[in-house]
Amino acid sequence: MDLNHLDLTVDQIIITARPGQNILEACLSAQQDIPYFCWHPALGSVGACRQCAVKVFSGPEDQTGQIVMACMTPVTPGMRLSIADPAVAQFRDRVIEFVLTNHPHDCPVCEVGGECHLQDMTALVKHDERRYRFTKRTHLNQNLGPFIRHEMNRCIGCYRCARFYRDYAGGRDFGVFGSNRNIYFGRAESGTLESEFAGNLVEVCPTGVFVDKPFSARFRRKWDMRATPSICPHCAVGCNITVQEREGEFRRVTNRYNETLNGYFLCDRGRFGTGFLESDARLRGAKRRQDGNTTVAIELAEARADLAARLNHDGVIGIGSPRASLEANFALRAVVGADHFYAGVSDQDAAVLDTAIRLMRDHAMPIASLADTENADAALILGDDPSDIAPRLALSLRQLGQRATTETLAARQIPAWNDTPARLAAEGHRTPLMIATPMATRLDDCAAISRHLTPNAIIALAFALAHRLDDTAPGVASDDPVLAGQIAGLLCHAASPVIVVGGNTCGSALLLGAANLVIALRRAGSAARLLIMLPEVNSVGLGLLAAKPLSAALAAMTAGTAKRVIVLENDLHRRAEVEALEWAFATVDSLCVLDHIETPTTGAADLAIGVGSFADSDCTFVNLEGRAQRGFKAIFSPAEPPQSWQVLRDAGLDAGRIASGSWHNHAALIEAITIAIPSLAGCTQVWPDAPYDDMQRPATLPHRYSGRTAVNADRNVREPKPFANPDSPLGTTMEGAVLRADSALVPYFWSPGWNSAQAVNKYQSSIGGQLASGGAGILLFGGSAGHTGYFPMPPLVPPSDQTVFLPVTRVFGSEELSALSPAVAARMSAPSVSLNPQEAARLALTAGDRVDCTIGTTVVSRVVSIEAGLANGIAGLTIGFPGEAGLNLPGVGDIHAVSGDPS
Amino acid sequence: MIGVLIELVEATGILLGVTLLAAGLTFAERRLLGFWQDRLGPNRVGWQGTLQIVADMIKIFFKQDWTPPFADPVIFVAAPIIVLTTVVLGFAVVPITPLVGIIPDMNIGLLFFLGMTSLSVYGVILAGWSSNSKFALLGGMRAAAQMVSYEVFMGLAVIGVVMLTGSFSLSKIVDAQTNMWFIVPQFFGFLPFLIAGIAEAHRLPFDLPEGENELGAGFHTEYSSMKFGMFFVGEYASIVLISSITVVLYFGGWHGPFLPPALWFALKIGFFIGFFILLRAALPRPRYDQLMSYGWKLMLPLSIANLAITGALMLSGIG
Amino acid sequence: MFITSAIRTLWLTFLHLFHKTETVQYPEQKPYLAPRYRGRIVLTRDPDGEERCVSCYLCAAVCPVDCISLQKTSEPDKWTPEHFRINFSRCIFCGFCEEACPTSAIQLIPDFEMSEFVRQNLVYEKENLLIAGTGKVPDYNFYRVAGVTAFDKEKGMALNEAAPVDPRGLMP
Repeated sequence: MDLNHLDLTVDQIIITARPGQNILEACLSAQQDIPYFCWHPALGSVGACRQCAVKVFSGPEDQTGQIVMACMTPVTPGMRLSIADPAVAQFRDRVIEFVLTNHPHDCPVCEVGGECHLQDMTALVKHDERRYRFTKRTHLNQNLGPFIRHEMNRCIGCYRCARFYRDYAGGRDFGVFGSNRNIYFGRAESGTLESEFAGNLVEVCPTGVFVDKPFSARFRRKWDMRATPSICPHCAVGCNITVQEREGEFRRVTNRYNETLNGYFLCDRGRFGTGFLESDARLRGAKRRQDGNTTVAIELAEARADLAARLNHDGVIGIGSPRASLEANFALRAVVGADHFYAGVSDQDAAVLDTAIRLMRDHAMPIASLADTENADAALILGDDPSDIAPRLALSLRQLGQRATTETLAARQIPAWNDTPARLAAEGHRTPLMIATPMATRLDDCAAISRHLTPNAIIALAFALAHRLDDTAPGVASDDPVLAGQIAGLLCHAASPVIVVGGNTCGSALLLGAANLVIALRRAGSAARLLIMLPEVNSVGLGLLAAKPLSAALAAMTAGTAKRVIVLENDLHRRAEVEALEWAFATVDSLCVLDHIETPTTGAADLAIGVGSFADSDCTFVNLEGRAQRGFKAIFSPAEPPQSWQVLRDAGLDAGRIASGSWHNHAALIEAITIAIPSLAGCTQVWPDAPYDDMQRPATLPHRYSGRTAVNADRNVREPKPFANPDSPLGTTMEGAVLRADSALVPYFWSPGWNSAQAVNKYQSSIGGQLASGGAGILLFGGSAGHTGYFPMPPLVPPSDQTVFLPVTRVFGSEELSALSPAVAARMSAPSVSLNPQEAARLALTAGDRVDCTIGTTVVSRVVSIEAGLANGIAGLTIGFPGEAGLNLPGVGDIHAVSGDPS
Repeated sequence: MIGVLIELVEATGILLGVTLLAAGLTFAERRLLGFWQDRLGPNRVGWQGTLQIVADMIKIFFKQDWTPPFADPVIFVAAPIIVLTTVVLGFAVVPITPLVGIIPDMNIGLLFFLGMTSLSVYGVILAGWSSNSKFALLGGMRAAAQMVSYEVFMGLAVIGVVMLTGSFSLSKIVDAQTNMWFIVPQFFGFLPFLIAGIAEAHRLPFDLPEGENELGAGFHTEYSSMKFGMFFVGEYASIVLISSITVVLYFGGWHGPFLPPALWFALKIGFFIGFFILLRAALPRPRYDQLMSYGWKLMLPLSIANLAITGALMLSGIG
Repeated sequence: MFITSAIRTLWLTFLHLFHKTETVQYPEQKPYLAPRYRGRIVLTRDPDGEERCVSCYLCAAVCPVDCISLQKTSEPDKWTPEHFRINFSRCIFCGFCEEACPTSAIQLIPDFEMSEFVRQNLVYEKENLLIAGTGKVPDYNFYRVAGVTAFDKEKGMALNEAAPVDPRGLMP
């Protein structure tokens, strides 16, 4: 007998389930539809809504049966149940009738209409008559900030929002108030939702209580928007997103399920940051500087010819970017020559990136995915706060830290999906999450151990832990043997611990320490894995192109060997100190910048070419796990910007820098990349092989896309030719293959009768499992570190008597692109410097004071915030906010109060 | 010399008259179809729509005279000419009155008529073939099969009349009907002849070569402007021709009391033209296999039986 | 059998020569158009004189020839169309838009005389479509029924609505 499968009989149909599933999961996995509200595949079951009732029969003779809630009942072998039984069907009909008694007459003016789980379930139950003739309950709405609009009248009381926000995402400023008819889901007072995962309420709510506010302002129905699979460009996690577009205008981002990465949820930076596509900061068209400070707009063809003319000279260098795609970076590298290609990141970032690449590629360190991290049985966070660098990773780590250990659940016989008992069981029996960072993190509340140490102490701790687990590891005596003992003890007990490390504050030395720890744990027999938090979407991809850092480029420019500079999608003002940069710019003959946003660097350029963003291009990014993923051109308009690699190719061909006929299409470019860089060989299989017959391609326009013959009619009554993208395996029109659960390519999730985001159920091999369609990306590295020796501990930075400034990134503001999105801009806090209370007292500063921080020659203005966890002599300085120049951090300097009125 | 001139004028007059009559029929047909379908038909151009033909002609002359690039240009142009010419030549032997007619007493008049109708099939087949398009070719092949099948018993049906008259000359045949129209002794010859005549003119319900709902427009799918116009006029001219021959063979030609012979002839062919249009208004198109089995299994035996009985009666001296 | 039925058909068809014709001699004679005739499309106003269209996109979605295009304004509460365009050169006057409209804003009226010599002139914008009255539905105002706030209507003021609940109240 197969222990991993058991058979159920559902209305005379035999379906297969896994032991430990509940009836609802088993039936939905087998494409047997049962309506539900409160259950969510990631949130588990609470049995609150009573909608998923089914009838279970006790044996073959039982004709009466018993009505149970499918989400609360585990499957048993040979179970016989009925969904269609008239009694239980009537039960479900009555439940939805109750649910709808107070639901307002809003569907036409509700943003969720047409992709509403409540509508879908009402249709599934076939409830079609309203008998309730009395008054409807109403609620006052709250202003929940720039991301979410609140329309509380529509609430059906399923509790999903509160369960997601409080229990899953750890938010504290939102909850449920009142009871019975007074029940209210909201904040104690109107105000911005504090959690950086609040945007998921839009998809979690089964109806329209929480609405995407920026999307509402440029609203379209789901069926009216082109939906294209893409990769979130706002951090190195590379969450899978669906970009939706209409009439050449970006409309919104929704989550695209990827079981190994983002699962069902995105962070708000990813969801609302992409608004930068429609911001005023977009660079459109090409501009050339004409004697002095005037720039003139020029045609794209002219710009291309100009670029080719520049390429015709010697001394051309290219500066790539970690936010540009692999295609664009490689094209620049090939056009200027590998020796003249520079990475365009600061020395500190380059060192961390280089170490990370060495660990992942050369030493084959075993790398954890986000799903691995969530399901690990212990985790140690070293160096940086994932909530600000890789927010989605923080959400995964929070699940680990909030979850009861597997043994506890097994001992108490609680299935993991049974949410309330499982959460109660977690009290005192949580999976250990350990944190050692310089500053407080937003995961401290669910951590077993959370310590805030100096960077040197964290590095020492990592090496000491490795040494404690394995004597042969190079080691130092830990500053705090008790702490090291506690952490080592918890890590030793775990079968598959994950070490999450970031080099932002502690540098590359910490990465080596973390690697030593993983090696030591694996030698002790555990399946330990490493996860390195890197700053930008294509950091790893850029790292694989083996380029020198920006400082080397600036040196070449000032030395006069680099005469002509091509900068690709990079604002160098964020990466280098202004003085050095301006000196270098002043010495070169020409500066050409390809970018999709206006930056100080495009302002300094004498040729600025507006190219396509990630949403205007077919682009490959390599995320922090080394997972190559592809996003497709999502936005189509008559005046569409060229893709970076195409501009570079055309100019390179004109200048004879690349062989004629090179990269005639995207596939040829990818092939050229894999030939030039063997470690990127996996890029060819990033997306399932596409049928290149037009009618076999899945259409990115939904089948009910409207207005085709009227949308351009105000300009010309004749309909234009539809858009095409021959490089994409996805069709760009309404025509193409019909969406099916087992399709190889799925542009968006929809299934007949399942219009909401919950349609993803239909595309998974089983609930919460893999997508049948694939497309989850290709891991470029994979290993077990069996042969790797330990790394020696590098010398530590000697302590300074000046204040040490550590870089602090903020989820809203520190990332370049998302900060240009109006919604995110409204959510940003002021740039700050964090001090502990003693330091603040010593400097006679209080929270909110305005200060100048001097680091080297650079002076920046900040607002003081008090952070209890910080060590003495250390200040956290927010970096990367819009309009701010690059800083060499960590660095030492001084803080001075600004006298007088800060206005 | 004068005689030759008069002959020429007469011939030109008759052929021109026939062509104009055919063109006029397009209007008459549309009005009649309208009335039979409780509509009015074209009634806007001129008094009661009488100038509709002029409008149509102007339109058809000014349409783009297009030869498709994939067609065989010579045959493509020749085909409609063949159709119109053969039909019009058929009128050469028709005796309209004792005096009017081009060569009414040609001794092989009836054979000439049969020959001309057979030749017109070539026009249709060549049109279908040279168009180099599948619908046209299918239409052409249908036309070939239909014409071959129906011509067989058309020939057999008229032999009864020839036997009774002893001549192929059409004026002799009319003369032989002074006392009695051949419709009476040759009723079972008349039926196959009329049906075969409809099929030869590929008029509804036997318009399978055109079959617009399955073949576009059949053999003339690719034709436009005046080339199409020739097919169009050819079709109506062949209606007039079949009506005239029917009247000559079975309805006593110009014979009739009181009224002048020309008027009698006109009235009789008018009746048949009206009948042809009524057929179009009333009957649906048969399936192709039905068409074939009518021809071979019903009409062919019927005309052979008619021939045998006529012969037997003549030999027995009754006829 | 076939012969008799064919002859009967011929005879019955022939008799139609003497029947009255159904043709109406438009434009000299104007045909009777029923009030529910599906002709020119208009956008109506509610009894308060406000635009009825709430830009829910249902008419555009249901249109079989996709000839309706509109865009909601950025106004969060009271939805109205920023533009509303019908390409009448594509419209087949099927009336599905009227069926789909939840607010009775879009209505088909008994008027079909809208021919143009230039096809571009058949593209009607909102100002061409909007009429002053309520059309066939005299007394329906969607926002008086819906649960959202709009113009002067606060929560609890719509038809059949209770006053907003107080979540801090202790009464069940």
